[in-house]
Amino acid sequence: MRYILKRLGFYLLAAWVAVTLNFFLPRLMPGDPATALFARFRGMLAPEAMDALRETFGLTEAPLLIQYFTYLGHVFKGDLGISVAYFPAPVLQVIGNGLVWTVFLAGTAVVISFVVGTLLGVTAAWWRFGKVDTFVPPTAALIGAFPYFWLAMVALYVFGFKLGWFPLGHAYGDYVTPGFNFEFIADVARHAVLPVGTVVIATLGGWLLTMRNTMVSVLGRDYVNLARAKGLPPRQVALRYAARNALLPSVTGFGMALGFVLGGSLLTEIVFSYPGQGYLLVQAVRSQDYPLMQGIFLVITLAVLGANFIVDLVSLWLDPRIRESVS
Amino acid sequence: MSANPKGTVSTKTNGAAKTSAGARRGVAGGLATWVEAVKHDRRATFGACVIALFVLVAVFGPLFVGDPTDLVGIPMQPPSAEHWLGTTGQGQDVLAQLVVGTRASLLIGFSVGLIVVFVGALIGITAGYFGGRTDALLSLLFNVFLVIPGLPLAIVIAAYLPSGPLTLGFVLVVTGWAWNARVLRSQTLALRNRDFVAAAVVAGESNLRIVTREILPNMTSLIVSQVIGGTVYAIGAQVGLEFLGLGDVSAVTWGTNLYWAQNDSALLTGAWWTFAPTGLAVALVGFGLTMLNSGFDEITNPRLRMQRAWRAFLLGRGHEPSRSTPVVREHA
Amino acid sequence: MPEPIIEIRDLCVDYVTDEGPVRAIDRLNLVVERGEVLGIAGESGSGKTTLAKALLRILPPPAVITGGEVLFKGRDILSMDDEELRRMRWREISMVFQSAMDALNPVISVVGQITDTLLAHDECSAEEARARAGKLLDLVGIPRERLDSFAHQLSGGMRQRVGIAIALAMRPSVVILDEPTTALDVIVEREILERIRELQREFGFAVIFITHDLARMLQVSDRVAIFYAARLAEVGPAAELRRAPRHPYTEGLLQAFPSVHPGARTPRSIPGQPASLLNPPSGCRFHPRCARAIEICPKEEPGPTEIGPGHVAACHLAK
Ligand SMILES: Nc1ncnc2c1ncn2[C@@H]1O[C@H](COP(=O)(O)OP(=O)(O)O)[C@@H](O)[C@H]1O
Ligand code: SF4
Ligand SMILES: [Mg+2]
Repeated sequence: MRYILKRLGFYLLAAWVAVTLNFFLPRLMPGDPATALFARFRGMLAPEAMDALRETFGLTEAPLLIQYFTYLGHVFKGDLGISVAYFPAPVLQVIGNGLVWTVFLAGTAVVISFVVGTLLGVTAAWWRFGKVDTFVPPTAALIGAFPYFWLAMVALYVFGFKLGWFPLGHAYGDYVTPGFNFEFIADVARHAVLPVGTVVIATLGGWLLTMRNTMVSVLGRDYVNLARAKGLPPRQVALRYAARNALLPSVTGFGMALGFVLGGSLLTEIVFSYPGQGYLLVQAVRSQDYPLMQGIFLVITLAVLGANFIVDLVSLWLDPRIRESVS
Repeated sequence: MSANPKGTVSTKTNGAAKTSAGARRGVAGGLATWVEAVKHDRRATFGACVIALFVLVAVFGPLFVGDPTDLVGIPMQPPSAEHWLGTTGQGQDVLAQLVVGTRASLLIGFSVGLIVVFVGALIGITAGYFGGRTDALLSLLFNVFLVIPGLPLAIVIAAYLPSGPLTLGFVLVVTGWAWNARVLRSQTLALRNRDFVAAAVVAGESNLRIVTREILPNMTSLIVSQVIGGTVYAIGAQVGLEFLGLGDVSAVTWGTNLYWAQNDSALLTGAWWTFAPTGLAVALVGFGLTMLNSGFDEITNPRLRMQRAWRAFLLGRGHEPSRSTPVVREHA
Repeated sequence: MPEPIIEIRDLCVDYVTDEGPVRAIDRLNLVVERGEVLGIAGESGSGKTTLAKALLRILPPPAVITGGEVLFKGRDILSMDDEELRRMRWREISMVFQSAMDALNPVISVVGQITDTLLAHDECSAEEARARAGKLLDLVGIPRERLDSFAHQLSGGMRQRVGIAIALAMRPSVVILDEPTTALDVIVEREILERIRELQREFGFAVIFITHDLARMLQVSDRVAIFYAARLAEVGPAAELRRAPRHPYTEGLLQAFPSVHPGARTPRSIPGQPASLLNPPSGCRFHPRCARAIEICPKEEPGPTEIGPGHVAACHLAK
């Protein structure tokens, strides 16, 4: 319980840091922030949009501290301002449309790659020097060295463009009606194969190597040796005694790697014109839509913090030592 | 062992004396192990060769190819005798772009790799060495940076700054240092509790001296391996940011090459040669660095080394490695 | 009439390092009798743990058994396949590991680590297994509420008792105790040793008791074997070894523990460094530290010499 509160406190703090960064970044621009920002958009934006921009950033005459609290108030109410590129849609609404796709894409990919990678790592470590151990880790490391979005480009080129096995982009075709019907779900799955597959093979190696190395060192521990000495069946020694313990560092690392994997997943979205945050992010960058960019940053950060909290709960369940750890 | 006070003091001075020697051995030893790794581990040899090749290309390559921004031919031509890797959507030579891009990308990659570890070391070692409140505060700082997703943060920062290599380097450092700080902090913490550091503290040496003479030298190999890891990160992240258009799109780097390939709809026109070579280059450098690191791991980890020796011993005598202790009756 | 349960003949164990194999057990001959307490003493690094784990064939890489036989009730453990070993382990020979801290899995409860052993060897229901686990805790004097505890919630002494409870789970005929009390304070140590002795009388298993505390060992053992640098220096009945040691190393060990040696008033440790196994001294491995060494000692390895019934020493002077 105490542990949970501690972690919650930490994530709240991290969220506050993100919000504060968001507030100060525009003000760190060289020169007077308001002038600099507006100079960029003069002529490009309608006066109403300019006002919206001013409003979003709280760039008023008020003292900085007041501006800051006004901004915090807005964020707290979920008011992230008005998008410039999608004017006059509010940022939150623009983001909301794509969030589900990002979570779907990154979530599916991360879970698949973690499970498969970890199982392969266990296999490689248990049959040390075996076939899996000899060939899979270097291959995975090689694939993992390619930029995600580049793998996405190749996958799209080969399987979409040349072979025509999968659609070239988007989350689903125009010919299906979104909703809980078989055609729609099947189409979403068909569209997800390439992007999810790319992220999975790009990230697999990381989980695999972490798990393999931890498992190799856990296999040398006395408690595994005792399990063997007790005459337990090999499967039980491998899974119950070694793999379960080796999983703990992987799970902790999982939280930290999430942000990284998500970054790769965002870039992959772009290649597949997948209608998630990554795609929006490019739109925002190209049209210098600062409110949207910052909104995406904030929302993604909150999502990652939330996911990290879930990971904490999982490790709490996996590792009894955490349950009582005071510090 | 002995309990008399004289004995205790003498062991301590002994310990301290041993470490100054040990410290000197640390730096030389750290580098020597790397040379050893490159010589004796196939993966490390491979990695070192790949990196050396790319460094050569980065340094001398641009002398042998034309200006990569020149419009030298018809756009989107596949590889030919004249343009070995074809032309881009603008009609530039892909090979020239690849070679010239190598220079900028490696330069940023290696410098960011170094800076990230430098910042990480500064913060991590301070936290681990001083402990207490300093540690609590600094740990909180890098832990927060570890959970804030890097790419979106980098984008937001980069979007506000003038585009160019400095901005790129800056955001890569901001989003990359925390991991190194975390690892180096725990390493420092472990060293801090070792006898020879305690002895140096008792002997009244200054903190700076203890850190530079006792702690840093004992982390050389870890730091070198972090620089390598940091470079892998920096190259990957840099290419990603530039691909998004956050670099200087008029410069020639690996990332902007890919940006233009995507912009010119290389995929939809089937111009694979505009993106394939750059991606391969990124991957080769990354893979080479990773192999260098893992070969080094193998050399420094005595457990791994012994397991290899054990396996070779068994195979050499016609036995398969087994889970139950193998029995090889040599004199039967 | 004593009857051997384990006969070790010419056992050799090597650790394969990258500088070549290091022999950690060198041509060991030793017998364990049914129902006895055999003590094994020797400096740290002399090969005691290696022998214990070799008997169960659980020495991890880079260990290789390079020769000899280990006959358990007449069957050679060194010729068994994995499945035969699995069935032999714990039913016949069990072990309490040296470090109680690392021997229990930190994320599996005490009861989990007992019942999985029971279930691996016997057909029984989960409830039966739990009940049996409770009885095992009773045996070693741990309250049953502790069944669902985890290792980190137990004191060092309790952890070691859990280790003993696990070792007794299958009522084996041999229990190996590898320095079961080194990490404990004196009172807990005595309690545990007394408990083991009682259990041993009750169930009649043989005990191989490993320690470097010779005093404690002479109190609880029937016979004692002394290891030096991978070799057997001396073996004999505990009372005889204490009264009339025949190997200078045994003598040195006794003087290091004055409580058992009436002659010496202050503890006198053996001068010099323990022998290196990577590059062992020639002839008698103890000769660089031996006050009585004679000319032949560095040149020729002393063979085992039978001094009395069941009393053997490997020393040129023991003839
Ligand atoms: N994993 C290992 N790798 C290499 N050598 C080892 C290993 N474990 C033990 N040894 C060697 O075997 C010798 C005996 O070790 P051990 O049986 O643990 O001694 P003891 O239990 O008597 O203290 C040690 O001196 C050491 O050199
Ligand atoms: S053989 Fe020689 S050196 Fe060895 S113990 Fe006996 S007297 Fe000492
Ligand atoms: Mg031992």
